[in-house]
Amino acid sequence: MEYAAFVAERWSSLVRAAVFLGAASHEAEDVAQATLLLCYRKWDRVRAADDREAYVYRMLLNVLRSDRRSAWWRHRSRHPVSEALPDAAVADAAEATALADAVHRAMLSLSKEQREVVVLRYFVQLSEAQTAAALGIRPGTVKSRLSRSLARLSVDQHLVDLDLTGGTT
Amino acid sequence: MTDLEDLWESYPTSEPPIPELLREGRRQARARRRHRVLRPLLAGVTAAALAGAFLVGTRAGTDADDDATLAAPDLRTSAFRADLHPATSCADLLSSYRARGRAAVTAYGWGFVSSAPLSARSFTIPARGNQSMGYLGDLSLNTQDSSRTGTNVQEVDVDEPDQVKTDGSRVVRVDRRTLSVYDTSGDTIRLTAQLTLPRMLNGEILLAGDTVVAIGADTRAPASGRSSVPPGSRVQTVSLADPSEPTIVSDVAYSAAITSVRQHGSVVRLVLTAAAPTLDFVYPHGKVTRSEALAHNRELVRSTTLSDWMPTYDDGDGPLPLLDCDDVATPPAGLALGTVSVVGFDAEAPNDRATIGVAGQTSIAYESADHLYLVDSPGWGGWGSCWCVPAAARTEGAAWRSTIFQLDLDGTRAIHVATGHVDGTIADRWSVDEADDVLRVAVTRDEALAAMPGTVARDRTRRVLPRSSSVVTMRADGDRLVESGRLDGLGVDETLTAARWTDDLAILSTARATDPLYTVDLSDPDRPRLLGALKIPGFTSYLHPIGDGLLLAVGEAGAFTGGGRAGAQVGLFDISDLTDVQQVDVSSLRRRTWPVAGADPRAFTWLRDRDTALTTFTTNRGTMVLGVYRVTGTTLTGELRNLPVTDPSRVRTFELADGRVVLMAGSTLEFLDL
Repeated sequence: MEYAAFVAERWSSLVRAAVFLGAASHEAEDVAQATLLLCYRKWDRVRAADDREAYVYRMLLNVLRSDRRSAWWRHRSRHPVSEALPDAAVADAAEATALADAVHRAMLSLSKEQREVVVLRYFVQLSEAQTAAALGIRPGTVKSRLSRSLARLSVDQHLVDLDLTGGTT
Repeated sequence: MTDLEDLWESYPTSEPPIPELLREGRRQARARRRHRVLRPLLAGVTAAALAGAFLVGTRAGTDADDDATLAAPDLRTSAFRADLHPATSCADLLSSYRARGRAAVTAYGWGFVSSAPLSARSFTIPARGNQSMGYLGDLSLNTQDSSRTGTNVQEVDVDEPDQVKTDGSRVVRVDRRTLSVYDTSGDTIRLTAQLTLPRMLNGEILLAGDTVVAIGADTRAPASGRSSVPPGSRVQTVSLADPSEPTIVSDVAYSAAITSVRQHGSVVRLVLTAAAPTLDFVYPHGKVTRSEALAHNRELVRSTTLSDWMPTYDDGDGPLPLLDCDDVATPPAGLALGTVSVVGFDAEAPNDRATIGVAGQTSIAYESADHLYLVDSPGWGGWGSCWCVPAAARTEGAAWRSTIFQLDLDGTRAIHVATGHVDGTIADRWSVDEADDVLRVAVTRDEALAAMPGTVARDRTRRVLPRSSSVVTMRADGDRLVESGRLDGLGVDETLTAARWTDDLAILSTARATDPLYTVDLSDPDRPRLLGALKIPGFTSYLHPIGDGLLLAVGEAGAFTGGGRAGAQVGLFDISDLTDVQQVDVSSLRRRTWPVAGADPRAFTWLRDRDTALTTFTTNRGTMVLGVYRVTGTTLTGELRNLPVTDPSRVRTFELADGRVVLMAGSTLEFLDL
């Protein structure tokens, strides 16, 4: 089924993008799931969108921004369906937490807008046009924001002694 | 960057949970389509209801049989679909305004009815006059809670502005032009900071994290062109990041009046309405003949420019067009002249606006979790409605037809997806509700009013039918919103006074001398079915479900009978059997008292953990009382407390995260002893 392939292809990027956009490690998979459930609901649109990548990352941003995410969690916490979701997801929870912390500290020097551009364009490797469409900004803005953000990250001292165990920097 | 790249590559992710996603997706799709029997609905389906709260709205288009879908949105092109077509150029747009204006203008200007723009009235949301529809939230949630900022709202997840907001501990309040921040951690409420909001009148606020968005009328509305009544509004964003020193981070003036403000998460959406410009019209008098006046007025319309019609915004650098010409659509025939703009922004990025416009006026905006509906409904001077739309500016045949635009919400953006029409008038936003992608509206048809002068209804020979109301359900079919079911004949010769919607149920109250409370089964949206009607004396203007199959109804004891001598009352209804609704208790106030909640639901607070409702009343002596209503089983115990204020809009109650209840009365905030 087309949807299954769609999920398989994007799952890890969506989870990572969620972390890089600021989600805690224990939230990231839930955010990715909520995003993919939205895609399921709006599948005919996802399918018809002339750029699925832009669409799905726009959804991800919406989920991250939206309070609906918490509604989704409340729902999950009360509903047995949460048990149906794999516990394996948190198998290496400790490592994930440490890595997420490191990511967040490293991204601290960027504004929310800069972070979004860096994550979508640089890490997820969307095209400039896709990034622009997902963020609802002009491609020119993507370019200028990206170069400023990358410059920022490269001079940032946090990057030098990133401690993957989550210790002091 | 290598470190971050390593992190990206090494961040562990689980296997994609494909089967789980498919199962949950299908379950939710089923839940949205559910045709539940009614009785269990009230018994406790919280999980499904919460899923609904999260996912109400757009179609789950996975099952092929379920695919009566909307046109696929294209991310990069127009924000318009269906029969709304964006202008191809500014010249094109201007000629459309002029042509429609020329057709509408008369020897008396825009018509007999004042064309004072909406904004000439005060901004308070919604400008609904003395009485209005009450509303119910999602009954299947069992009980309707306030929004997370403590405001009694129409849709639980869609917040609405008010004078006071809380995040559970901190309280923010705007009073006239002063924004105050209070700390509630101690035994008393302590003022921690104050800030003046310059150039703003009648402000109300939204709270998104550390950001306050204040919305009000602009005291410095620029007198633009020939407009003699400059309609302006102002939106200011205040950062509370430093709690001792709130600072204004953004200040934007809009040259149009605000008809609706809603907040989804951190996204704020404004609907602004600008009326047709006020021109230097003449009318036939003295030596000026009718045809000379008409020719003069037409010439005025012909010489209008886009700046007469199109709203502007000003964030400090002077007024700029709010809308690009190709983001403005020409509406179908029938809409009053003017311009409605939909402006979306994130509270954290208030200058990053997404805007679209329609070159016509709509009077009602309703926002569900996924959609914005703009409704143009002919006003008929009934409760809360106004003659704000020049009747003559409507085209014949459309006078008693309402037009509904459905817009998809996507972050800060709104995209028009479908348009529909329904015969009759829609009173206000409480008459509109969406569940499972089905739009449900309560409409009133009134043939007698349709034949009144100034309304273009020509067929005077037609038999005049009494007024009656209907529940109409509509679905999007491609780019059209089409009627899928209806129930007619509710409240013949009576006025609709309150409506409340749940996924599967509508409760409508109509009134003349008695108050029939109708229950309508909507579990099959294509076949709304009348379940029951309870006739009790008086009428209801506000309805609130409190769980356990109970409903509180705020209203008046004798409607339209004693020349206002009747008193307010609060009734407790058992709705566990929808075919046999019973009033189980009632608590009456003395004569000549009136409930505030009917006009403004923000005057009602349900405290779930205390089984207590708080709501205010005005009296004929100009004083106000706070009613404290405790529900014990099927018994209602009322207690009245005098309030030291006279202005109903300056009294609010809300609950803090720790369960303490705050009373705002006039300029004071204090803990309420319950």
